[in-house]
Amino acid sequence: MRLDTLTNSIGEWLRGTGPDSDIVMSSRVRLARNLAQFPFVSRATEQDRADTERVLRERIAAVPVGRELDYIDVGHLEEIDRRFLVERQLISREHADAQGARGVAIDRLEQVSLMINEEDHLRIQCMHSGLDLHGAWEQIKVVDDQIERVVSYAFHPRWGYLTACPTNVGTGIRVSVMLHLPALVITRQIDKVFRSLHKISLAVRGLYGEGSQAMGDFYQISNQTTLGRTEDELVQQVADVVPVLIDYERRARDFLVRETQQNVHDQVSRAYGILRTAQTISNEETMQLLSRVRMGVLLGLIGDVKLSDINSLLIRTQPAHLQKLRGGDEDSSDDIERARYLRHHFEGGDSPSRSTAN
Amino acid sequence: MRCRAIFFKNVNLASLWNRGFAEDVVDFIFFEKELDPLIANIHGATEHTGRRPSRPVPAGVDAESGTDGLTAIIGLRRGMKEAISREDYESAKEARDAIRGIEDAWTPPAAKAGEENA
Repeated sequence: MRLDTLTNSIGEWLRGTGPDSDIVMSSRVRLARNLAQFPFVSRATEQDRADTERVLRERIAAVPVGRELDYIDVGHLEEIDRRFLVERQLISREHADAQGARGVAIDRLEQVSLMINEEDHLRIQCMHSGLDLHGAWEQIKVVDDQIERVVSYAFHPRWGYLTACPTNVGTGIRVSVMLHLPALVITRQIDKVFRSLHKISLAVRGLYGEGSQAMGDFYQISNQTTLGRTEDELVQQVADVVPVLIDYERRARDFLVRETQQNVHDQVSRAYGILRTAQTISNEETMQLLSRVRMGVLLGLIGDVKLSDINSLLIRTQPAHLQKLRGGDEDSSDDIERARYLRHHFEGGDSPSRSTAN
Repeated sequence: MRCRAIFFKNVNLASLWNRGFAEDVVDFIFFEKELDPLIANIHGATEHTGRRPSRPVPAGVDAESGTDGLTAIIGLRRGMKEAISREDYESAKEARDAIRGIEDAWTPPAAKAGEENA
């Protein structure tokens, strides 16, 4: 698979479709699995890693997982390509930065991703657009069952699936939603909401998961424990709380429109204006302004921008995407190129190749 | 959550898990008693109630614990590495053949069929 072909498309999870996709960007389920006959990745020799990668690659290729998969040898990718996959959420930052034999199998819609030799031998993830945790769970079960037909997973009769980190042992499942919560941030209610989530054993993370900073008012909410409850119960635990958060965010948006409409309209318009005219702009500022514009689109304050366009820009203005879109032009900085790309996009040009024409 | 710093009674449990106990899967069985408090501390539970592998227990693996084969194969892998390091290639070959025998017993029928057709 040529990664360059992906620059012209966006993953299914960014299309802005599915239930409550105005607030829930995506729903994700991932499973951590290890092969019984190999040491954990953190303790594996170079040869062990190579053997694990070969066994998983060959066996995954031999079973139908419901989607045609392309395999990418991450260990031999250039750094920019590894970053590119991280920005598309197809691999983790840790997988990108790791050493030794490793790879990822992905489907064309970028819904299914199977990381080999991440923290665990195998990390299976399914991402859907909008609030669709049950759909993602049903899909990942099929993938897991098919792979289990051809490998022996490390499984303890009492502790369940054994994982490299004790925080994942048991089901090995992490259920998460990526939420866009600008109104809760503006009304300064977000910390109170997060404190409540911690009390019910849910974790809050930034756009790129563990260890990442929240940018542009995007947050990931996920389960913290993986043992003692069934997978269905853990999926439901997250699924139960999301409607409550959606309701809080909607109420906060209503409040903003009702009580401070001029102010909100001004914030949105300024953000849109800067994105359309800036000559240099950082990644962080872009995310923040795109967040405001996204809210403006959803509140009907901006009429000529599609939600999927904003979602797409959130990814395409990331450093590795910009560098690939730039096509090797090393003369301008990321911030100048990002501003140029945004100006061109809002002028009506979507073709990445035209971004350098200005 | 990544295994970076999970402290319990001033001990970095993630480090313990990775470096002290769980070098191999079999260590989970050897150190079951020691690891139980760690798991209870993280999850508030020590019993898995979710999905289980549906494949039949392979030959050579204890049906109750599922661990005999694991114990054997990991011990053999260690023995093979040690034999290679002291250039005892005869012992290394014996260990390798024994590992292959157990792995063959473990390989699910679907994987074997795929390998034969390949």
